[in-house]
Amino acid sequence: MTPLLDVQNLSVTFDTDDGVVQAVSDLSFHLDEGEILGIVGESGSGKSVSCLAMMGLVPSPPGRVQGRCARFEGEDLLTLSARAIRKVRGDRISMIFQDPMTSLNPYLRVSSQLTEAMRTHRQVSRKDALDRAVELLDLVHIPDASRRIHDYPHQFSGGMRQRVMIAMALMLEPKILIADEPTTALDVTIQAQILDLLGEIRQRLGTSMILITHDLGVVAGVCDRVGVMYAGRFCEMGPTDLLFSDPSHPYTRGLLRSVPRIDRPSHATLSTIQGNPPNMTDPPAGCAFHPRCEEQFDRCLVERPEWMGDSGEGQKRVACWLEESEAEGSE
Amino acid sequence: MNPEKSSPLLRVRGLKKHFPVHEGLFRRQTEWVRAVDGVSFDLYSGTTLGLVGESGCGKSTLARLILRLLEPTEGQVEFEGVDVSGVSMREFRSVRKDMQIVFQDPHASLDPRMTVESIISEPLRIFGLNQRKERRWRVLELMDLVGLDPAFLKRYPHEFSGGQRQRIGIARALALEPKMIVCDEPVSALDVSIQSQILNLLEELQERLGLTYLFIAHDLAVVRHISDIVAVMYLGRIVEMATASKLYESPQHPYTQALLSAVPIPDPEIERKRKRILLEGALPSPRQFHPGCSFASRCPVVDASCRSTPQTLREVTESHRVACHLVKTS
Repeated sequence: MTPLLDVQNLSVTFDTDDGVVQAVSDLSFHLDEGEILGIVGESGSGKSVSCLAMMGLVPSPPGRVQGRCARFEGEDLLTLSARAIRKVRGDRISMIFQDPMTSLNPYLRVSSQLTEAMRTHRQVSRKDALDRAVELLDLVHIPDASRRIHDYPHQFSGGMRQRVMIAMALMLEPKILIADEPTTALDVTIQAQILDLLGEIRQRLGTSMILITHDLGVVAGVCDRVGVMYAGRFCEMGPTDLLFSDPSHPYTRGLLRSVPRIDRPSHATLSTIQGNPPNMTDPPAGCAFHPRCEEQFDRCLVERPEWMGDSGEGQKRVACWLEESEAEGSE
Repeated sequence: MNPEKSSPLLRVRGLKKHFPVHEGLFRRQTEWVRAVDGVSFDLYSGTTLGLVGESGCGKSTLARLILRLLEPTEGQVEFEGVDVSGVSMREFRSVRKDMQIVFQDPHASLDPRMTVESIISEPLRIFGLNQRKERRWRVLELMDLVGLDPAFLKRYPHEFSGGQRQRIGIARALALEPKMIVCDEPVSALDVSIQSQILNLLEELQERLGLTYLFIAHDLAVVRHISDIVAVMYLGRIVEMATASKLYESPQHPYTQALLSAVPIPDPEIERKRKRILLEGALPSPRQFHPGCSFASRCPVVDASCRSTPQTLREVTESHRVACHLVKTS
């Protein structure tokens, strides 16, 4: 089965006064029909930029996007003209962002913001677009949708605004919904509501999703497959269960060990990942994680690890030399 | 920690802060926002009290009231047995030496035009404690204490990463050898891998210097990790308070139960088995006056008397207090 979205060797750089920032390097991943893929990483790891690049949303200059392809429904997103990609964006692929307040126009009623995309992309009457918008506000469980649709964004609470954003993103029945830290600005009880909603939407509409987050807990609950990013590359990727039960990359292991958990007793010293994230104008040679890795050896300093492991269904892949030495040891 | 043996370092009684709301053409004062609405607790020396709650519950306002960064509307704050809520600001300054604060945002809370040395030594200068040379020694000592390279003495905040900046903020808070530090979301702005470094540092400092923490955070996992006692706030009031293990292992208040069930756990197997208590709606406006339980509008087990009977914290088991009349005392 060909995947719905197939990204190969995507790279993004930014020209800055301090030099060229290598935000994303040689990134490859795919998204299957109806799948929720989680991309986890810390700030600056390139998780958001890679999706923005795919959607033609990286400003150039200073940004530069390169790559072999980003195949989606027979088209290559990376080679589409600005005009052509605008037809994809908001229609067949749509995005929601972290802060629902800054993504909504405070001067416009929710109704006109919800219907704008539909009126631009499709030839529909104002009435039909409005009906569709009410239908979607219902779908995202906004009570009294036919009345609330005429309200302004400030009349909604944070969680409700994020629901409006989700409704807006779903107006044209996109194949892919990219959610960039959709719950980071929300309280935990509201976060739980929104995550439930995303799962429900996948079930009812079959929408594929890319969920970008820094929160390992969020990923564990909703994603089918997870990729962990560090310094612009994936260091590990695989089915959620396998990744959490048997993490292979020292960075993934370190992350999982260093988060305090509500189901674990307190006060034991947390394990930490030493040092700081790398400066991406001058990333370390070899494996970018090696200066912070407790298990590094000579090879990590000079040679960058390639993807290792089986590429087949349900398998996990890791970019770490340890994996290779282990494989050799077990043979 | 033994309440019988020692008296608390900090004792808060019936603390309230009501902000006036001005509306209309003549800016008439129309309503009150009850940001903090009757909070009482004791904090013992050398321990950590974790204060959790969602945004708008009043936890940060409470911290500012204790430090007198805001004037309380009502209530008492006793520090080392002395009532400091009524004293003049001038007198209060000597108390403030013993209570310091670490803020959430390490970018906004450090002056970008000051060097690390002047940032950390500022409290020393203000309290006239040291000669210039002595100050330098103290700054170097503090930098060493929080794990900053003393070679960075003359650098500016923008040259540091988020985690290092938070270390600078902690060094500044420690400069006057305080007894208590209020940590207001000290790790919320940090990445996961850096967060654990700062949490470990705070615990290490507590052990070495015998510090007392009032630790405010919205991240329930972080609070469990670092706290001895945890208080859960909702709409300006504490609804449940207990030792960390009791609160997390057997939460009694319906709000605490819902809150804990909503926190994602980084383990897919556990996540699948867990039952979420989904709360309807969002936090009601703190402008409204709630004669009964403030949680009644969202409570899944609400009954008729909840809306009319005010709920006060009462002990249900030893060192476990809950403000809900439905919870049985054992």
